[in-house]
Amino acid sequence: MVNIIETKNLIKKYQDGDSTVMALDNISMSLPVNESMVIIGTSGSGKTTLLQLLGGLDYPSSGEVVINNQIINKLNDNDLSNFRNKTIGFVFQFFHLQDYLTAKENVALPLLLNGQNQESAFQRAEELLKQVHMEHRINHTPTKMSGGEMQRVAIARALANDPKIIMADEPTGNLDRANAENVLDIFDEISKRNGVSVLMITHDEAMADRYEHVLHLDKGKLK
Amino acid sequence: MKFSYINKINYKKLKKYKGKSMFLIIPITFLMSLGIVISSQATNIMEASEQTIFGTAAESGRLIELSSRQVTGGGGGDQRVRMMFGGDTEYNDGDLETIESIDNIEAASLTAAVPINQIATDDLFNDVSLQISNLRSIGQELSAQYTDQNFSYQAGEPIPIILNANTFVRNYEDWGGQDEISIEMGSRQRGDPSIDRQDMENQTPFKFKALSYDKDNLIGKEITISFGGLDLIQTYEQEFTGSGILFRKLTDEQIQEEENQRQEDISTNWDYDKISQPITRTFRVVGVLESESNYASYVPADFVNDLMEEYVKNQLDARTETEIAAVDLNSVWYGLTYDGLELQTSGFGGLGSFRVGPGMIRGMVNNEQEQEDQKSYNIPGLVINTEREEGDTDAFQQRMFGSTGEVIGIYDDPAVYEQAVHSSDTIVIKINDAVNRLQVVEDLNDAGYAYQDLNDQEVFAELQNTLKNVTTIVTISFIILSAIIIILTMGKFVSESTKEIGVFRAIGAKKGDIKQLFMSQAIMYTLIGYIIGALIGIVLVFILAKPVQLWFDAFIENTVEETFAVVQQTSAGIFTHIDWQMFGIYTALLLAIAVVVSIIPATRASRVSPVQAIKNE
Repeated sequence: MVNIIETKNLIKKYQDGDSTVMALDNISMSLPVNESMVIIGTSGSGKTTLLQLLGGLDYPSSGEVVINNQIINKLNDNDLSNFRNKTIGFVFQFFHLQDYLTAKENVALPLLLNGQNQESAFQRAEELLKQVHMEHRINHTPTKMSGGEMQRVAIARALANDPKIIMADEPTGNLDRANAENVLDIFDEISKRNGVSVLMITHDEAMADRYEHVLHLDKGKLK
Repeated sequence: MKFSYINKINYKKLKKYKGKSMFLIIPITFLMSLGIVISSQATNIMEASEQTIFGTAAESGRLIELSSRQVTGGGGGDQRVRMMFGGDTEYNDGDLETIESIDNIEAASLTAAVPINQIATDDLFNDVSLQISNLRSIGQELSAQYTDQNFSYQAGEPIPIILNANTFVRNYEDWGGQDEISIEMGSRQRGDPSIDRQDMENQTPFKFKALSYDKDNLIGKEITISFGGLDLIQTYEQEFTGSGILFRKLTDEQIQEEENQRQEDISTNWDYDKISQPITRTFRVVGVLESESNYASYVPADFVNDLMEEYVKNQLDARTETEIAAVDLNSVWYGLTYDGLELQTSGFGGLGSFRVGPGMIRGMVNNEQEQEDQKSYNIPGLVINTEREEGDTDAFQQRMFGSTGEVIGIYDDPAVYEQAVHSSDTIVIKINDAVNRLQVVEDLNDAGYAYQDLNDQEVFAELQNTLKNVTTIVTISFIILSAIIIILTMGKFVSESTKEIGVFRAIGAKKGDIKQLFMSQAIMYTLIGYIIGALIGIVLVFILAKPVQLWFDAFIENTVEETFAVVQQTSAGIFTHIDWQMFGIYTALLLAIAVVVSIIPATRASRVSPVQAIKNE
């Protein structure tokens, strides 16, 4: 396998009342294995939509999405859920941790959803939290954490099932300079150590310098 | 995801968001506790009603005494029944059939009168020979109207009898030292029986005194009752003056002469000793009926059949060889008449059989009757066969003087009573359950049988009915309200959790996982509400026991105590009982509803798309 991600003629349309909105217009792209990419665009550019399709969160109107050699847009809902669980790790702009669960429980969630028993799931969760330097927060709930800490827990969660790709939606959007740097450093670390590809979307042009593969989106089209 | 962890998630969510969860938990708690309290106390009240009220009348909610005796409205609109002068429409076997076909009526019985004139006992009160003038038969299943004891008839055993307290009366004569007493009737207004009776009673030498009795002592007592035998020779004669009646005492010689004459006359056709010998039987008092409107005493219907057969047979056995002219039957010799259908009392026994007692006047002699020469005798057990009048097939009119058809001869089958169509002015009805009383009363009226419960009885029946309805309404409300609450609150929870669901889905939760999460949340919250509600409900039942008891005792005192003899006060204990059956039903209902109803919001939740996790905020 050469490319970890590949799309062919990807189109996503929405019905907005009487008119049809073309969110993505014929996107064909690819990302080689073990390499990372950033997708840059302003709001309305379609970058969020592209992430949704690449992450298997939604189905395209037409075209193919091939990830890890799987045509994921042909999968049914259950299989797609499974795919996301094992192959993708999501990191969100607003962290999206469950505030009634501890860091350990949050990180263990993807494992538990997979049917794993609590003991082994929590053990793995603790290991991952160590990896992102969050051992001191293992049994704390997010309400006690800063933004930077929460994002690190979220990253640990994303790594739970040993995914092939980390998909991040504006992961530094809610963080200050220092924490943002921290997160990006962790991404670098992961991609080197674990052989994980990082796919990030952002509106920040400055990010372009950090990554080999850059995609610019404008009004649903590749620039 | 493993089921155990689903519950752990919901538990943690609950701990974090207690306030929100209360939207579901509190209403369920409320419904559950209300359901328990209302159903339990309703059941307790129904139970207490049955226990408090004297055994017999515990059944009384199930019994109706349907009477064709006319109702007169008294001064204050009082609906007490009074005996009317003259004949009333009677019920017969046909009416019995009609009534038995009404829904929820378990049994019905005609309380036919025992057609024997002389029924008396000496065993009840010292020096008093008590006349039991209104003795009726009643079916065993219906005896519960008047007694809670065994009412079956077994030959050779003492026969159960329910005595009427109205018969506990001593009749005596008070001539005030005179030999003659005259009563004026001329100025009285015709057709007003109450005034006539009262006044006449006061003026005649015939007095009566109510006897005091101890009910508890009477019940269980064995007494001998005699049936039949010749009427007592009247110790006075009466003359109808232009303006009234003259009573004159007879001398002992005159009385003896009457007796001799009678013996002579009778002996021609019957063995005098045999015919004057009454039938005696041993009875056991199983009930004492105290009623202002009912004057009857009751014995088992089977017994009456046997008794009447023996009664008629004795007369037939006493017959001599002498033939009796048809013209003398029903004129000189009186008894019962049988026209192939009805067995009726014929005429009035003997000249001047004019008994004035509490509320009863029998017979009225018209002025055409010759009083000196014509002797007539009532022969016990005599049944005169008559021809039924044409056009009379369906008319069952109570006739004052028996059948008016042509006399054929003496009827010679002793089983005539059992064969005859029975009629009575009363039918006693048993309903299968007191809660159906209102419906049965309505159906009876629709079928043409006017009946109305005395206020107290009606109130009691309505109480039972109301309580039954209340429980039904509470249960239905319970179902509807709990379903609505669960749907609404869970719907709200789902709407507020769109992001959370999206994230769960994004990290790999399947639709089924989401559905499970929300269904188990609904069930968990419902369960919590259930447990707390159950505990509160049980505690409330105890707390309310005393207040409910006080209310109940007051209620009974104000309404029902007049109609029924109340045996005991309730103890608060009854009102602490929980209706476990309803408890179980509510439990099952609540669980079922929670499971079924939560499917709707849970399915909605499962349909939330994973894109919600990344949707622009």
